[in-house]
Amino acid sequence: MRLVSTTYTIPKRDGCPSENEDHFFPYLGEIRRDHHSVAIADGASEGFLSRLWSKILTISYVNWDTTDVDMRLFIDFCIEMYEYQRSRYLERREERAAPLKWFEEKLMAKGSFSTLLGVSFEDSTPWGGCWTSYSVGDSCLFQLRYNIIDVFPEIDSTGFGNSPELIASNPAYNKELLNKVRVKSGKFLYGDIFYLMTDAVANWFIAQLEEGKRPWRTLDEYLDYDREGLTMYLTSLRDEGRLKNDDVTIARVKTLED
Amino acid sequence: MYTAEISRGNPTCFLFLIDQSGSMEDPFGGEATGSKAVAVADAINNLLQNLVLRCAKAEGVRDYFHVGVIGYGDKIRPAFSGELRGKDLVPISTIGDLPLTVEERPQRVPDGYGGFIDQNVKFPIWFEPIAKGPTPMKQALKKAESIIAGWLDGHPDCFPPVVINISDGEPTDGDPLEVAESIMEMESSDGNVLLFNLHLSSSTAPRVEFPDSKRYLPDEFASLLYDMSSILPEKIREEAESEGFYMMPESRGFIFNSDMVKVIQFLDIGTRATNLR
Repeated sequence: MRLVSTTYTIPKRDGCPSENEDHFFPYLGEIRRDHHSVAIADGASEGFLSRLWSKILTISYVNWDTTDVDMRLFIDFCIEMYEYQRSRYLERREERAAPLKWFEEKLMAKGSFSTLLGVSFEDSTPWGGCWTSYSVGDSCLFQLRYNIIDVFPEIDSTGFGNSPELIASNPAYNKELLNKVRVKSGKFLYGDIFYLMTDAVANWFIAQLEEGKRPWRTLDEYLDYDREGLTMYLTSLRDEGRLKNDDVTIARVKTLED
Repeated sequence: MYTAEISRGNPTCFLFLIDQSGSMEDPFGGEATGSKAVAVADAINNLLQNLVLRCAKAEGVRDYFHVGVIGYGDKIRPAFSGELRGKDLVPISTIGDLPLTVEERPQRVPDGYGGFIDQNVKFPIWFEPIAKGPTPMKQALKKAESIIAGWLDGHPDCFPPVVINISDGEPTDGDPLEVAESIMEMESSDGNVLLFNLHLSSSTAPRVEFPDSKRYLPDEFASLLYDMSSILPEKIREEAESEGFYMMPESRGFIFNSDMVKVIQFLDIGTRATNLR
C-alpha cells in the first residue's frame, strides 16, 4: 500500500502563518513506507501555546501509527511531550531575560486546547483494507469513492459551533475526555481518497454536499494545479460569508496499490 | 446585525460607567461586610483580567477590544489608576501590560485528580474603589456619548460598542434619559450602540433581571433605568439563557437590585463576544 498525501493550510484572514494554530502531519507528500497514519488538529484560539499542542498531537498520532489507539496512554504521552516543550520554552524566555507576564502565567497554568482527527490504514486484502479514525472535536473526515461514501464524525452543516470538544494539555480539563473520543472504522479499496478538514472548511464542504454539489472536484482541481487559486477561492468564500473566517487545513490522502 | 467579526483590524470597545458616589461606601442590601465600591472594583478588575486573557496569545495580547472605565462621583473622570490614569479608551494589550499592581490572592483550583487545592494566584489591579460625592449620572453619560462618538468615527463597521452603567442610586444632576437615548441611537454598520444598566442592591426589594416590561419594577428610578437600557441582541440573550436567566425576546440589558454574583455574571455576559478572529 502507498499513501500519498496533499496538504494545504492557511491562517484566518488578517492572520500571519505563524499564528495558524491548525497542524497536520506528515508534511511529506509520499507517506513513509513504515507509516500508515495521517492527523490534523485545530488548536483553540483561547489557549496559550495551542500551536505547539496541536503539533504534538498530530505528530504523536502519526508516530503512534496504529488502528487501535489506547487514548488514555496516548494523551498521557502527549502531555509529557508538551510539558517537556513547555519547560524548554520557559528556559528560552529566561535566557532572553523575558520572564512571563501575569497573563502568560495564568494562561500557561490553564494550558492549551485542541481538536484531533487522525486516521490509520491497514492493507488487509489484495484490493484494499481497513481504516480506523479517532476524533475529538469538529474536524471531519470524508471518504470518496466516485462519491462521498462516509463522513466522520456524522454532522450536518448546522452542527458546527464555537465550543467543540477539545483535548487539554492540562489533565484537570480532561476528566470527561475519554467519553468524548469518537472512533470509527471502515473499509477502503485502493483508489479511495480521504479528506481530513478542520471545522471551517469542513462546514462549507458539508453544506455543499447538502446542496447536492461535488465540492471535492473544486478542491482537487485547486490542490493539484493551483494552490494560490485555492487561497483566492477560500478568501472569496470568506468575503461572501460562506466560509467562517478561521484557520483552514485540508489533508487529502490517496490510497494506492503498490 | 450584531454579527460583525471582532478582529485586530476591526476591534470593538467596552465602556464602563462606575458610580463612585458616597453611598457606594455602604454594604450590599442584606450583606454585613464589604462596601459596594470595593466589590465593584473587584468585579471590574476581574473583568479586565478576563478580557486580557481572552485576547492573549503566545506572541502577545491581540487588540480585539479597547476598554474604558469612567468613574462618576465628586468628579467625572477616567478611573484607571497608575500609568493608565487619565486615559479614556485603552487598547486591551496596553491594559494587559500596565496594571497598577499585581496582588496575590488565594483561590481554589482543580488539582487534576477530581479535587481542589488552595493556591495563591495573581490578581492584577487597574481600578481602585472610590466612594465620594453625588451621583452625576447624566454628565457621565454625556462623557460616554462623546467617547463613543469618537470611537465610531474611526471604526464605522465595528461590532457595536457596549456601554455598561453600574450605579446604586438616583442621578443627582437631572434626568439622564435623553442622553441615554442618544447613546442608544448611535450606530455602526452592524447595529446600534448597546447600553446596559446594573443597579446595585441597598434594599430588600425583589431583584428584577433582564425584564421585558416595567410591570415588576418597584419605582420611578427602576423604570428610568429600564428605559435607559437596550433590548438585548439575540446572541447575548442566548448567552444569558445559557447562564440560567429567564429571557424574553424583548428582554433588556438591565438588572435591578443586583447582588455581587449577578454583577459578575452580567458583566461577563455583556462582554462575551465570541466572534473573535
